[in-house]
Amino acid sequence: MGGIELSGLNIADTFSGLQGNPVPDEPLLRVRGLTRIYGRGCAECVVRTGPEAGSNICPICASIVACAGVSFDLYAGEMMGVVGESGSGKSTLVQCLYFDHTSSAGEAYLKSYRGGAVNMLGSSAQEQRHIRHHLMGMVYQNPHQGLRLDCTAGGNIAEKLLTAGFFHVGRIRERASELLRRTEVPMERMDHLPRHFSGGMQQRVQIAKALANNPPLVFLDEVTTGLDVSVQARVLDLIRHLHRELGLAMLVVSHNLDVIRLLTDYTLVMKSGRVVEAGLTDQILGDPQHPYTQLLVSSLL
Amino acid sequence: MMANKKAVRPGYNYAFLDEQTKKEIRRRILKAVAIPGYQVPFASRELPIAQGWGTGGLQLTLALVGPDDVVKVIDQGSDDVVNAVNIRRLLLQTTGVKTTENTDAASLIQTRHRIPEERLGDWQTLVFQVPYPEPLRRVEPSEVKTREMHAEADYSRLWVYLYEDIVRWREITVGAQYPVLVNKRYVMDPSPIPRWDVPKLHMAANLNLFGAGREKRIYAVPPYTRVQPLEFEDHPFRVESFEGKSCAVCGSTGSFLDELLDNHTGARRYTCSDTAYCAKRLLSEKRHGQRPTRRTDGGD
Amino acid sequence: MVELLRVTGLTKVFTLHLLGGRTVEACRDIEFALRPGEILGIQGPSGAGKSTILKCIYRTYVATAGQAWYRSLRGSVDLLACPVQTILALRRFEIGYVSQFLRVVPRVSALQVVAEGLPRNEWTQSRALQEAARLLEHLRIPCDLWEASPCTFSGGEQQRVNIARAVAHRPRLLLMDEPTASLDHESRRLVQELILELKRQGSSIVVVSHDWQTFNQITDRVLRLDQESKACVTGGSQHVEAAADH
Ligand SMILES: Nc1ncnc2c1ncn2[C@@H]1O[C@H](COP(=O)(O)OP(=O)(O)O)[C@@H](O)[C@H]1O
Ligand SMILES: [Mg+2]
Ligand SMILES: [Zn+2]
Ligand SMILES: [Zn+2]
Repeated sequence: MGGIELSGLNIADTFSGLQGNPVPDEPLLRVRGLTRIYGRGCAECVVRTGPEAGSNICPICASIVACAGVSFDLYAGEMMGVVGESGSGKSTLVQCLYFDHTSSAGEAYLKSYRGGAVNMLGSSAQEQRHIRHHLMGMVYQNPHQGLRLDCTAGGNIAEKLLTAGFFHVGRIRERASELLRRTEVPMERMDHLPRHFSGGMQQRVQIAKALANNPPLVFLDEVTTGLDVSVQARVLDLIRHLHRELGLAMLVVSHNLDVIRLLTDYTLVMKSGRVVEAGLTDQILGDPQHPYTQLLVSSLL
Repeated sequence: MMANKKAVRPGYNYAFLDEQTKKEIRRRILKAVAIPGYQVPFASRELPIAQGWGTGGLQLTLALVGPDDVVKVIDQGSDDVVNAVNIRRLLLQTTGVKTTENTDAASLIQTRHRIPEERLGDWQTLVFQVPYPEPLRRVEPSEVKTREMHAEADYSRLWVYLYEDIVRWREITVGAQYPVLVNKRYVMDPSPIPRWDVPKLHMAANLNLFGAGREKRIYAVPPYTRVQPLEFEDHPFRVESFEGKSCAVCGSTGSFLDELLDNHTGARRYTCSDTAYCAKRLLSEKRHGQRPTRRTDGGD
Repeated sequence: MVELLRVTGLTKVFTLHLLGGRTVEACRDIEFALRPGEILGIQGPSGAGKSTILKCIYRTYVATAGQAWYRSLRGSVDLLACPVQTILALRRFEIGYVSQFLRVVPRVSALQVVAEGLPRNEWTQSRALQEAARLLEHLRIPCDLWEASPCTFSGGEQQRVNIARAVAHRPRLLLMDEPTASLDHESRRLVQELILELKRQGSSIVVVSHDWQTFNQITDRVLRLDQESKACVTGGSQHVEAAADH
């Protein structure tokens, strides 16, 4: 037998189908200067806090600058990580983007919302609710936040579909069982209360719910924190699998660099409410630039 | 001109309430009419009947009743039960207006838990007594949250409730108080009327006003307004079925029937819940040897 | 012929903030060019900065100075300075990287690992799996192992899976860091064959290796690094070519 035969495709073929260019088009989500301050706030809040100050509490007015000046672009189908110690502002960031909190300042544009021309942080509550239900999904660390534990698993998924104007019980149940199958929740649990599920299964129901309306963007906030190691692994596999299969963009928040390494291409490193470093995930891990990132990475190994 | 001057007890203001209160209630009514299905708060007053006996509806009636009105009061379809009689007496003693049991003759009808079988005209006003005005209460205990949900037209949780009802029981088990969407905007509790009556609200010619005394809310379905019961494409809304049953008194098969159990024989009997309607049919039959041609429609 | 990649002045200095800001120079003023269809070897003692060069080009490391102009299908880009989005797109479609070790998720099958090397939007899942199977077969991974996770494989098998993954999308530019370090004789031969096949199909390859035996025969030119100076001893293509001819 001769040399190794590679499949019929040659290199020219591989690229003929590629019409993009090395610089992809517009980002799916564009965030600029996102800031959230808890408390009264004063003119000095932002300058007197941050990684250099070593704190997110304003020494003058005692307000908490949970996150400030956060900017990034997230492209369609991409997995972006947000890593940092607990309290660094990661959850605040995603919860502002999901409109759980109002933002103190900053802008966010979603390509699928009015062509990315309107700052969604300034939209009406009703518009934001529409964006939340049609264009985004959220998976919280704590299933209590993302699920109604006193509604059935199917009912939880139905809620999202009903919000989107899907008023057909049969079709709702079809879609719910498809989502539960994808997220590996046994079908017979569809009409049971998630209250009685294990932590891992609650997370999988949450993921199914987040995916219900096929949103192009999903936020995942510490989805595996607090789960047993083997259960964590299953949930992470599921997320990877779903990402690959559905091509969603995901913003993955975790204090755990292993999770970030496993899931993401690009990473923001946060400390005291600021992004101290952003880059390709393998670069963040392989050649961290900021002293804090170096500390974070060194403690990993 | 008052119809019944000698019935009026001295020492009370016309229609019991002071003018200021009535004006205030009328203002709230106007707002409610302007925003169909929206619950308008109002300053509910103490009345000489117990709360829970329809003080909300009564306040609306007292604020609206004029000397030329002809008033009918019904409770669960009947003009003769204690509650209806008491309210009618109060109205009579404080206004002297003419009262009637004939739906066709009444310009102002106060009701609890029923809509008359005879279709109302655009010159008539129907006032409902409402115990619990908030249709979202069964899914959300917090008033702040339900107000927010109405403001954002976020009714998904109520829908989930109906969905789970179907999953559990294969049908929606909500009987009375079936939630409806008014004017494609607000979900409203139509008060504990049976499903049978819900379609009568849709594009009705008359003005429908709802008053909740304890909860201090007024809301309205103005004439010719869309009122759609919440339903699924594959589980359409259905009214109660009386198939194979008819009124033991007048023989009606097209009206909402009450079931009566004979204590001795254990047999079931059915009679019209709307007693005035039943009586009218009976009378007309006796007079003309035939049933009245004017049928009402349970459906639309 | 136009060069596919030209590296000039590539320097990498690490700043170790945890050690009080100490700096470590990993390579300095590296210069070389790669022509289309060429295999360039980089040789040098351990610690000479060979991996650093590849990682800077792949952007796993942030270069301190220098340029790396790559002629992509969409025009020329400096890999050291272009936006990360460009790098991600190039990694997906044009540039492959074989690391010294395979880093795998324990629960992902060999087949999946390789299929994940294919750009998602261009390949359906089933086609990607077919393609992965074909590559694994070529690299003589027994098919009863395909569904197992590579972390249970022998070193040689792991490395072949690693290579299969990196070349699955037929990179125009392939960067290989000690691809044969952990392989037995037979595996090395297979890798050698694969590299030649890729070259035949038009890939250009930079390979870092100690394994002179394997690469002597297939590299077109060699770049030698010297540990002391951290610069390329045989800089410039004439020098490099001369080294390969000796
Ligand atoms: N509701 C809140 N009120 C006041 N401070 C808050 C609130 N939520 C978060 N914070 C503060 O904001 C900072 C960022 O918190 P968070 O976003 O939860 O961080 P992370 O998700 O990275 O752990 C912390 O100092 C936290 O104590
Ligand atoms: Mg958090
Ligand atoms: Zn301050
Ligand atoms: Zn009858």
